[in-house]
Amino acid sequence: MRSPTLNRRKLFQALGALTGAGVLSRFGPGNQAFANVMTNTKRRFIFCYFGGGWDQLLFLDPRDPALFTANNVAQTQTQVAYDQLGTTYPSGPVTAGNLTFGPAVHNLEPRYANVPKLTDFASKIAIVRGINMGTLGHEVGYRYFLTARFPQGVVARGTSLATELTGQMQVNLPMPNLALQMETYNDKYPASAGAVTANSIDDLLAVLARDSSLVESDLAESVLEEFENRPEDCSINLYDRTGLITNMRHASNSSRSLFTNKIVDRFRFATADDAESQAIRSQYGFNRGDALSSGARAALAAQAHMVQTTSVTPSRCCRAFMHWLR
Amino acid sequence: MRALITCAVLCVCACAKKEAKTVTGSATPTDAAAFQLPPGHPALDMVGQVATPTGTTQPITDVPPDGAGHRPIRMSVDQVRAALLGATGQVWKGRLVVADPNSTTGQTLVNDADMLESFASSLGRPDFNTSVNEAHEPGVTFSKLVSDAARFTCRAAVTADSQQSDVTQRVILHSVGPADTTATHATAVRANIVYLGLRFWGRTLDPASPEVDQLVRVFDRVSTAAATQDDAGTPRPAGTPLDGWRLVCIAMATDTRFLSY
Repeated sequence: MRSPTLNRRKLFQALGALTGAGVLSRFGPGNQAFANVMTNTKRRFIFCYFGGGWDQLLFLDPRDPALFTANNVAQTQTQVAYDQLGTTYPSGPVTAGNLTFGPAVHNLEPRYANVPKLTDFASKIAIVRGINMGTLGHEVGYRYFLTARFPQGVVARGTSLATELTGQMQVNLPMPNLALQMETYNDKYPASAGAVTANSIDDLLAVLARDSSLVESDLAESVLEEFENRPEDCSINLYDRTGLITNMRHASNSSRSLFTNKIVDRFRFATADDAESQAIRSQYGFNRGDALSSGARAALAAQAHMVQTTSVTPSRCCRAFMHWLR
Repeated sequence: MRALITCAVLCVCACAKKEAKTVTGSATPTDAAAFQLPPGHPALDMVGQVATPTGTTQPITDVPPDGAGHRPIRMSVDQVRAALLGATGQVWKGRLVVADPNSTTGQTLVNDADMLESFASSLGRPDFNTSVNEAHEPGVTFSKLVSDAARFTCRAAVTADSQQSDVTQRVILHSVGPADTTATHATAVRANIVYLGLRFWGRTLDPASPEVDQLVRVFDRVSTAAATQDDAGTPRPAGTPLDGWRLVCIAMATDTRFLSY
């Protein structure tokens, strides 16, 4: 056995490491502002991502056109141009409660007369009007938005906020996290906290149910499950440095619990013809089979809530908020 | 700022020219205590030699402190499709409504749709509209859909093999006949599992190893099952060796050794 020796190189390496640790600790995980997330609460979260939304001046971050006029554009560097919207929209900002929205919040065309208005829910809304994204690239900003950690190039780092919530709440539910047409990341929580991902409601149905032609006998299914959960082979686990193999096994068990709980029945509303599905389509305003509509996405979020999904991340579900808040 | 400068100065000092080490070329074992092997694991002969620019060799000594080998990666959907095609000779086909730009409704019902291709976006393939990077998350979606693909391709492969008289053309029933059981052909069953270990996992299994024992158990339990009825009321006929090989195929095709690299 070699005895430890101290030379100039090792001394400076140690001092450098200590000093570096001291500097970095000011910004380290221990000093980040993590809220205390209660475990096993009944709180549920919906994250909607609206790609290609309104200009913020027209929607959530308006300016007073009396102050930001065409005459002082050189001074304000801002041209609101509300007068160019025509008669389809209000001529200026709209106030609701203590919030002020841009004119795009109301479409005045008669066909939208009965559509729920965002301003009706002003008392239940909080608006964060700006976040410094540190980038002009959509890919980078998108992943920064999803994970709250700045990406490496265009590759996301960290965990999606929805997964972070699910992981911290330690919920024990069959499908705690669902993402529709959204990227989702999980770099530290068990696979059970990761999102069930689908590119469409049809794909989600394929994930939640198994075609009868692919179902084996009860005995064969239990044999497969037993094989998957056999005592772990050290020659495999040796390579489980990143937890990938453990997560793959957890995911397999999670998918079985989805079948056991028959969650799929909650998501057949887009195509099924039973009374409940018809009522759902009527409430959310979409036709049978129109699974890509915004109404169908909203219905999916609501149905996910019915099966106690903690975090739902559907893309472009503009109706979801309206129905949720009612 | 002062702390940063101090840190930088120390780093520069630490990185000063290192004394040249003599490369002996001998196969000295690496300090295996750098990481913990599972209890009972035999000593690793993974250290090996690496060539140096001077033409000599030296032991690899950068074994990571938290384990051996590279970081495993989950297969992409294209890799899964190609791997299943290579291992079973089959592609998961199914009845599906798919997008069709030539259809007046934009959709067409296809009876033999390439299912993995259809689910590719959900399995992480970028659509270059909302994403440009392949996702490799080992989530429930991947587990379920790949399991379906394995079930379909294994069933089709075993059925095709059972109808193939030319043994050299079979992919699953390589060393056994369609009616061979453990009771009648124990050695052949083990030999076939060893063959499948190489075919699916790229590993040469010892016929007497616990891994082969586990797969023999899978084969035995399913191939010798009595006729029964599932909890849902579905009647199931008595198991056959073909059922056993189908299950062995599914077990191997859904194993982490098959789905990661």
